Amino acid sequence: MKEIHILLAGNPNVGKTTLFNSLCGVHQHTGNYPGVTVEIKTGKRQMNDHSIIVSDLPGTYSLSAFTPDEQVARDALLTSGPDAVVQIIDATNIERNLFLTTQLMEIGLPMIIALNMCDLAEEQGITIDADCLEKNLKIPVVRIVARKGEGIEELIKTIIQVSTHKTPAVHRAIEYPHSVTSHISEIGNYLSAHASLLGSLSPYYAAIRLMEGDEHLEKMLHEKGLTIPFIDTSDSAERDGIAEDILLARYKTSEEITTCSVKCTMGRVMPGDLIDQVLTHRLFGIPIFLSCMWFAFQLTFSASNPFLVGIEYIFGYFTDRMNGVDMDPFVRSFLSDGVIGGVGSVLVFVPSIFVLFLLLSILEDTGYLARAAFVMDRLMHSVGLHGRSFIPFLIGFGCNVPAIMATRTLQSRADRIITIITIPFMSCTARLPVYVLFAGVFFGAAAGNVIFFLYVLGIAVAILSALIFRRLVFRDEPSPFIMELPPYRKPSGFAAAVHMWFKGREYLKRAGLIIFGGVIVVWVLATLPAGVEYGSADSLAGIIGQVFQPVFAPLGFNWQLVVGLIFGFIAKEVVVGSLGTLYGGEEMLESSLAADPTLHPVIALAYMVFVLLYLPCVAALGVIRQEMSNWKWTGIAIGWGILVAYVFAFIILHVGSLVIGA
Amino acid sequence: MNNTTYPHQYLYGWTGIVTLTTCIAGIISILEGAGIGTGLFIPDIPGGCILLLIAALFATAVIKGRTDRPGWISFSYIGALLLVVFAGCAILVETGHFLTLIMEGEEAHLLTIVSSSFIWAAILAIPLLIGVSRLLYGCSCGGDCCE
Repeated sequence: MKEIHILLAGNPNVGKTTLFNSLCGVHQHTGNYPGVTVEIKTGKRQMNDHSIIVSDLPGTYSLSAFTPDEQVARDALLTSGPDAVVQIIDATNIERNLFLTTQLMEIGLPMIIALNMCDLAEEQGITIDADCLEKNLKIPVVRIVARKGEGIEELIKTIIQVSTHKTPAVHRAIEYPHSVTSHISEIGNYLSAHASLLGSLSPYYAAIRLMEGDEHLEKMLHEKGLTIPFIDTSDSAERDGIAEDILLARYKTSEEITTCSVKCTMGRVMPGDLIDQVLTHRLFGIPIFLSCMWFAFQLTFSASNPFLVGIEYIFGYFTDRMNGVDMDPFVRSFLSDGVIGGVGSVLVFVPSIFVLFLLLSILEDTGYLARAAFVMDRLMHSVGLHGRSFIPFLIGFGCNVPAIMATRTLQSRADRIITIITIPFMSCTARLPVYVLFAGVFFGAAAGNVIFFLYVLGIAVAILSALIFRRLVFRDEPSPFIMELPPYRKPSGFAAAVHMWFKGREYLKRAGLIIFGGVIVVWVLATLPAGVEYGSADSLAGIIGQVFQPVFAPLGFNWQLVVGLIFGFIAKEVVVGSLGTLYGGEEMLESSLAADPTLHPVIALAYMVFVLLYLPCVAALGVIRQEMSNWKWTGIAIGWGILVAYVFAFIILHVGSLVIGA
Repeated sequence: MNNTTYPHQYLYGWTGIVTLTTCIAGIISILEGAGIGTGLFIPDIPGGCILLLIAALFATAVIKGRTDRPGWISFSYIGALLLVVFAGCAILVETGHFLTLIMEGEEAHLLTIVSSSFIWAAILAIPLLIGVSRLLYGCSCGGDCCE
């Protein structure tokens, strides 16, 4: 069987990952906003005698990489030596996409253009002459609709045909001005004599990159002892002039090709443009976003509540049945207090997680979340955060781990560090069970409002922290925010349901592994030493809780809550699991909390705020360490989180107690 | 609205009526939340504020239309769309509350499902949404529209 290695390249948000999923039959996360993919994902597709290995690259507008994710894409294109490159082009915006094509063509690799979203283009009155496009580029063009799986078989056949072609790829040449071509041929000839140092790069292409001012390549050649004699580093104006000429030639080529192959038969005012007048309005934009989020959290709590009650009933039924069976008390305690009490108290919140993911998927699918990032930019920029940071923040509502990785789309290191430090303040779904539990027990009908408040507080604390770090540590201005707004789309119920299922399944897996492990440890600690009353202050869990409890006494937390916080470091869901184990099972948890004389609504609110802010989970900390590449900033992220959590919980407890007179 | 012809003038007038009703529904919700009310609607201060925000969107549409500035269709469309979507959410929220009470064996009234002020405000917004969305897509296709 012949193996073919292809790369999927293209601008951000043109449907690369959707095509990747269609090609490989997998379900990588896709989103209707740029920057979803930040690292290379690889999959496989078998067809006849061929095994196609597909690598999905992060989106990039050009090969002059500015951000870490763009560097990943560029390095893969220039050094991995694929059999073919498939460039996915958004059919509704061909001219802008062709700029990258002009760069990819010069690498000299076999190429295929996958013209995606042809259905949307037709709806918008855009007619594309694919034959003309193919003839002009000298690259095979295949029309596809990746979302619906249309044109995929034809694309695979073309990939096999192009990749197995023995002759070298010859694409359309860009017509550069004479001043540029003379420089290129001089440098190209010189590099041809040192071709071994260039790896898989062609001398001609390397010459163009050098003339464009590719510092990365220049540095690489310099390290190999090669200095280009024709590049006068002292005359930056001349070099800038040549780079500009190259840029203009590329734009001219893109325009020429578009003019001949694309016809627009409708007016250019799109419904999306008219809708954006309101949704991105400077006064109404943020209130509309907050309103949508408020309803999302109301629904998360209320719509999932009947399911929650139903699951509680099922667990209660099993506990009752088990109590009726004659068995060893130790085993009974393990099953009822440890397994059902611990894991069960986490599993009852699965419906809430599913509802939240469904709603976020729908908002994302419509293209509204990208608008939310846009409207937040003014606010974000004023406090020293990059507007694009809001996208990782939004991802952080699901899970902080991919959100931290999504900061690779940020160009400046200072912007990245600030965003990474502030992402753990976003309420990930692992914290939702804590909110649903405590808000439900202590705030009744106002629970939805309390949960909304906690989410907004997370954003507010993130912004406040960014402001402090920008003023005290990174005094430079955040880089300007440029983001392409994706088109509005009707949300697909199926896609939203699939997204919800995959995200929810992750939660269930965590419940089965990490959370189960965590609550078993808590159960063992609550049982030992032998002979003590289960979960009492004399058990190991009680002793540990009481050792640390004085630290949390100013916040009003009892030792059970402290144990929850300690084990919540493993994963935030373990907070509820631990409390379920210590308070005598999930069936008893709510009534036990409500009846606990050491707790009242203000302490509950302070506890939820502390859980929101105090520490990222172990997995998130690992990724912070990986992305920061040092322990210093990881330590600062931990310390800052604990400090902020303590201060906010303290303020809420004491101000709240004054207000209600507790 | 000098260059606005049938049926735009009716939609424009309807936008004015929906502005008023949405504003009244918002104020009633807030008053109910503050304990000063009739008991007809569910007390909901944040919901009332959202209704006032939507009323402000409609009011902007009315103001823009009066001075022939572009955008009244966009504001009217988004206002109506938000109102209808939020009313749908309000029905789901109240249904969730209702079912929870039933499952917990507590007293529950079926009428509470439709007692959110969003629902009553949205009834008037449905015809507006249908009319304005046709106008909006007509605009984008280069049709006869008042922008």
